[in-house]
Amino acid sequence: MSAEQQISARHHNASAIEGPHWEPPSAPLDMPTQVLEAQNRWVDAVLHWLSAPMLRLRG
Amino acid sequence: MAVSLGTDGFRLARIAALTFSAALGLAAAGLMFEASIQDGVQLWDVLRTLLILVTTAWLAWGTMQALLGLPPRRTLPERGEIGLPHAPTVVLVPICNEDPVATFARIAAMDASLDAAGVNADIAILSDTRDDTAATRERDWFARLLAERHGDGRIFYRRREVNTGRKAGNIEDFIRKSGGGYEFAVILDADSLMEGATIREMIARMEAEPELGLLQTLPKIVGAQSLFGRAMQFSASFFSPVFARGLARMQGRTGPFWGHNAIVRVRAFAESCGLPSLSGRPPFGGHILSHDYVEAALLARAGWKVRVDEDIEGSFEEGPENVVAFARRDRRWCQGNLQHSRLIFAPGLKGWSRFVFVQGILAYVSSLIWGAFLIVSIVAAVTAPAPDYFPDIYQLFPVFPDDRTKQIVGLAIGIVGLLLLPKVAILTESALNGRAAGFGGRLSALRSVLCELLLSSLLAPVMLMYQSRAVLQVLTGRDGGWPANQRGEGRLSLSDAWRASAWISVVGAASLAASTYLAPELLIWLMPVSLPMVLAPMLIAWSSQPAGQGVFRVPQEDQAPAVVAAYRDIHGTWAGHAAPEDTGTGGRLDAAA
Repeated sequence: MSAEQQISARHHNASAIEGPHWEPPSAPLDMPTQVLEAQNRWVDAVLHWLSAPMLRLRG
Repeated sequence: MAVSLGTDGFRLARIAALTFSAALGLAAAGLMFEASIQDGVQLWDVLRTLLILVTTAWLAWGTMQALLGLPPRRTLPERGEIGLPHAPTVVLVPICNEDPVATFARIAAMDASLDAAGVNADIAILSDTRDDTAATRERDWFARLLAERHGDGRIFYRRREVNTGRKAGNIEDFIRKSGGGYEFAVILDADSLMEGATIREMIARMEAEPELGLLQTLPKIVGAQSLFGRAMQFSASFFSPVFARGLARMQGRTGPFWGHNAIVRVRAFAESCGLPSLSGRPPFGGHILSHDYVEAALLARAGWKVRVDEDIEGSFEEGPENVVAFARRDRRWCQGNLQHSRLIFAPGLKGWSRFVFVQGILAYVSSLIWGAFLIVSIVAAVTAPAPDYFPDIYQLFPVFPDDRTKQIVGLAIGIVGLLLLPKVAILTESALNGRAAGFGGRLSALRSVLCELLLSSLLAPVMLMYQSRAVLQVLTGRDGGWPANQRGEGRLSLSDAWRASAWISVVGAASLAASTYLAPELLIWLMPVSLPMVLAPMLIAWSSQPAGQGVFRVPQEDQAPAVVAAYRDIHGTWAGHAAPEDTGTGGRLDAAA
């Protein structure tokens, strides 16, 4: 019997003993989503310009 | 000579590095232009000049980083003795389809090390594993970890239903649900290993500087077995600390975050680092792949200090064992870095953060630029007009074109010099300050550096091809996704290597053939690039073979760090009777022990 099978046998099925105590304790913290996309329209245009010939090559 | 650049010294270091890079780039461009225009100015000459300008400046930038890092620190970063009880701390281990035996054995070793160091930290394993069978194995091994470490109530495991945002989303999910309970979070990768004393030191430094939002360590590679892996392990231990010290001298308040083996102030991270999904489709839109650079930039934007302290020891990770695994990881990083082009002009970022994004992009695009330079050089030679020996009708003697070989040879020597200088300088530094002793002594360090130079020179054209392909794939809109790391894959057969690199051999052979027929005078210049390409499958298979400890010796090999030794013991016990395929990465480490 492999070590892993022994583990499974010992714990019958770990998911059976799994419970709320396995979860990290609840302590909510606000995490606002940051604004990253602004004033980048021309960057997108440059990327599009760079990608366009490649996309055409790909067909 | 120790160096302390003072509070604003980083500005001086940045200016020096930028000036040096720009000056050498311009000098190289000047030489190239002068050598190219003997038969008149053509489009190809201008292109070639621009390409050599960028590539040389980029090489000089790397060189300058090493030169800045050569002098030792005169003052260590601010530190304080850890107060007990210390601030509540959690160690986060995000995992996704990893070998649970090796992963949980590492956690058991770190938990014991934390205990021994008097650190009372929780550990949270954050699983994003998709496969149910793999998840069941994780739960089984977690149960064993809990039982052996008596971890109830302080070692936690949870698996997400949906892995939105991948690793960044995984961490974010934890912080939203449980972050309020902790002051600090140590962020690791599944293959990370950190000494408890190291984490204690990191907590102390964070406590000593309330405005420090993130502290990054420089992880050293452990457990490498193959020639390629050992070369990387040596490089990370021998060269990287000097490069990192150079980076540290330029960082100011906007240091790097490399995604793992770092500690963050949870409140700072929560209020600054909630990542949006970018508009549009991958590869440029969607979730931010290389989230670490962006999180560092966002922390700095919010006024928090981000810093790398390369002097912190006891921080380890594993590395790829062969070129193919390296290239696969590099494909992900390439996409992540090119995606940052969307963020260069994000509102409010510090100038240096924007520059870091540009650096990341250049790190990949430079391969394409080198490739373009070689192609343009062939085209320029082919399309150059035949020399006109009698430009005047009534000319008695022929006029021979100027020989510009001197400029070209000078340029080539300069570029090779830029590649060699950092390594030679670091070797000299290690011989003078005694650091070489940890690498088997001066002669052993010299032998390792020479072998590393040879290996990296042989593999550079192969890497160049993989990186160029990755950049082209991203530019053509191909999303490589973020496949799980396949750790522990080592030796490759010639047929494996052939399947992964036949296209490189074909390109190499084609370039040699084209040069032979179209521009034979360039053949000798192309040989160092094209020959390794032709031999790519052999090089990849050869470098993936196990290598002895005769070369590339590192200090962590002579005396395994305590946490690494503990991991090997635990893994050996846990996997002792398991089938070989279950031993995963740890099997390699056991062999190394």
